[in-house]
Amino acid sequence: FIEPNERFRLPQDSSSDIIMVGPGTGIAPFRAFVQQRQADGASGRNWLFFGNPHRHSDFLYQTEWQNALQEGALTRLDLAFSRDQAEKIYVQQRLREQGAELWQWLEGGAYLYVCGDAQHMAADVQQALLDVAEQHGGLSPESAADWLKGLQLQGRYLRDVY
Amino acid sequence: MTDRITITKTKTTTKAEAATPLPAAEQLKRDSRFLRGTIAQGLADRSTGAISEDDNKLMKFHGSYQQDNRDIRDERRRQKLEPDYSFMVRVRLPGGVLSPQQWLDLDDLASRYGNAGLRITTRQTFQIHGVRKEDMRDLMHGINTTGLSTLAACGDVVRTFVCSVNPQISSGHAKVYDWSWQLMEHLAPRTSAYRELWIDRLEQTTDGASDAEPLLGPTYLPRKFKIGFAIPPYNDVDIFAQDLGLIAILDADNQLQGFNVAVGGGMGSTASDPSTYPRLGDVIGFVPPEHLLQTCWHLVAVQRDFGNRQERKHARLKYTIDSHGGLAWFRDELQSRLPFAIEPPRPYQFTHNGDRFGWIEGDDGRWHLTLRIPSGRLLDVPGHTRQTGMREIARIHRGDLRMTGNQNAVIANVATEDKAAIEALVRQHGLDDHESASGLRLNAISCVALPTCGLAMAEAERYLPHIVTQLEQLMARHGLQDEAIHLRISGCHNGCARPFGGEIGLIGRAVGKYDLRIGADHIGERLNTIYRENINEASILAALDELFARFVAERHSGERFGDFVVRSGIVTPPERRPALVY
Repeated sequence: FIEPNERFRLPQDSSSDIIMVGPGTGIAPFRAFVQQRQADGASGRNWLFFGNPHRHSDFLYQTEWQNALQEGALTRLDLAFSRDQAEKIYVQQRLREQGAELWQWLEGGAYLYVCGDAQHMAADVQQALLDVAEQHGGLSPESAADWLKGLQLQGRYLRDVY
Repeated sequence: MTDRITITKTKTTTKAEAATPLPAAEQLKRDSRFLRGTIAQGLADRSTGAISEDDNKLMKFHGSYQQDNRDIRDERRRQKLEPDYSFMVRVRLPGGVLSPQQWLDLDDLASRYGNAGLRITTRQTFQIHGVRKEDMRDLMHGINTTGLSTLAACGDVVRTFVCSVNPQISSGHAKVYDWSWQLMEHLAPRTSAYRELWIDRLEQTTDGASDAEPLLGPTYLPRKFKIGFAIPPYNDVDIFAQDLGLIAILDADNQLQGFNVAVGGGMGSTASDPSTYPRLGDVIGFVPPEHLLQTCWHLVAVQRDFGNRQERKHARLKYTIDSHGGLAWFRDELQSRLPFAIEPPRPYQFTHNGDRFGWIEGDDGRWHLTLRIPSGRLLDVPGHTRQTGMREIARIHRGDLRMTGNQNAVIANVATEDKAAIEALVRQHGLDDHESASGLRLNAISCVALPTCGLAMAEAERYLPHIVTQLEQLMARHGLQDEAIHLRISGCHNGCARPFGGEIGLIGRAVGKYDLRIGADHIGERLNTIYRENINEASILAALDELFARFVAERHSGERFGDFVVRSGIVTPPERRPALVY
């Protein structure tokens, strides 16, 4: 069933950076986000984290993302194809790997969007964000949790999970 | 003295070349740090199954190139997925010879990393198709671990060497085969990029600062360069289709006296472009074995220095010769670089360029079994478990294995007491086509074409079984069912199945449409001639129907079909040296 999510919207200020975490079907709204930002001529940067089992068959909208990267409509793309190697790799691992850069973007005012599976992915991604805040922001676990809550209250940590 | 001559020539040419800016393809080679490019980074990029176009050009020198499954291209595009990319890997296998252990290793690698068994090529080696980019390092490493390589199997280099399998003169074969290995190593690229990428499997390649290419130079050759050895009277490698053909001259006691040197062969042309053409090589002289390496080094150097680097479709040695003043010019240029005289050619004779199937006894009492492998494809199909069968044979075989220039396989050096066991496996796995197949079917060869070859205009390998059946029925109607006509099918004018040398040649022009060429001999010393252009199957069969009728009515006793259509004036054979040069 489709339910509206009023707050899951692009930033009003198009010069803000956006970080999109959308493995699996969670990629859906981000297609529109990137197309809209390109159409608006937004100056903010766009960073997408995507994951699925196999790159060869499950890289949803692959050619569109490749074009977007070439045209600059997408600034960064990080991928996790869980079954393409012996060990399973998911988007949260990529978030941790890119932790330093991720922290920079967030400290600079970036908006963070998470879309997709509620049962496992959402919690794992949230934990990864807390870990990034601790490791790259030098925060204690309690402060990291406060920081994330603050992000939420500011309307800069938005989720559409199901 | 020889080195001084070489350096002088190179300097002169470089000065002349410095005036003209290098075309992109040449600059790419020069800037590649001896064939490194950004291949390592490309392999690591998990967002795509492809590597960059530039890296793909360099990858060729390492023995591989990127392909995609053309059958599903449209479907993938509709799904917004990139093409179904994969890599073809070609083994470097001089003379097509390998040990049973190497066979087992390759079979295992192909099963794990490829998608369509093993494919024997028209130059006596293997191709493995359908390799995912992620598996490339492991596959290439595995091939090298078994004592083989893929270096210079593709690209602007001296390619893998062909050598007559010649079952009969066993000692002669052994000597010539040994020379082919020596020459291969003498002319091979020296870059350590190959070791870095595939043997040490470095994540990042070095800057290649300590690399050098004394023969090939940093821009390597202008184009591919194919070298072959043949032992008369068998021309199964089509020696005159090579850029450089070395014809082994044996004396009455089968001792190797030396080699006749033939230059300028090459299939491949661009359809409807008369400035491009297939050509058969010409013999320009003879060298004793002790002069072979030096002669070939300088011969390749002549092509390196004079080959056309501005226009790749005019870059093969055949065009270099034809555009500079012909064979006399070439011979003089080569002679000027050698401290000894090239001797006049010695007599030789070829009788056949097909394979001879079944058991043949070598002069040392060991046996060789040549098996028919349709289109060289080693894959299990109902009734013919060819890949498994060859694997089982390799498990018990104590001799060696040889691929032929006609895409077939030879179980070589079988002791008399081991024949029965091998025969049993051959029968069990349906590898015994040669015992019942028609002459047409036995000798038909084809390139891979679709679905993997990016250049194919029409089907070849996948079309061959069907068209052969149609032709067998047609021939039977004319009472020609025993006639061993040489049929060659290529998916395009690049001519990888040597279609210009077929008694009947079919060359793909568009889906379902082919040029029909007729009139080559069965020896490899006469090319065929265009008969009909760009026609469909019905027209092909209709045209051949008429020709077969005339053949039956007018042939001399024992005359071959290819010879008949020339003698009777139905087609005129092409000029030995094309009149049109640019």
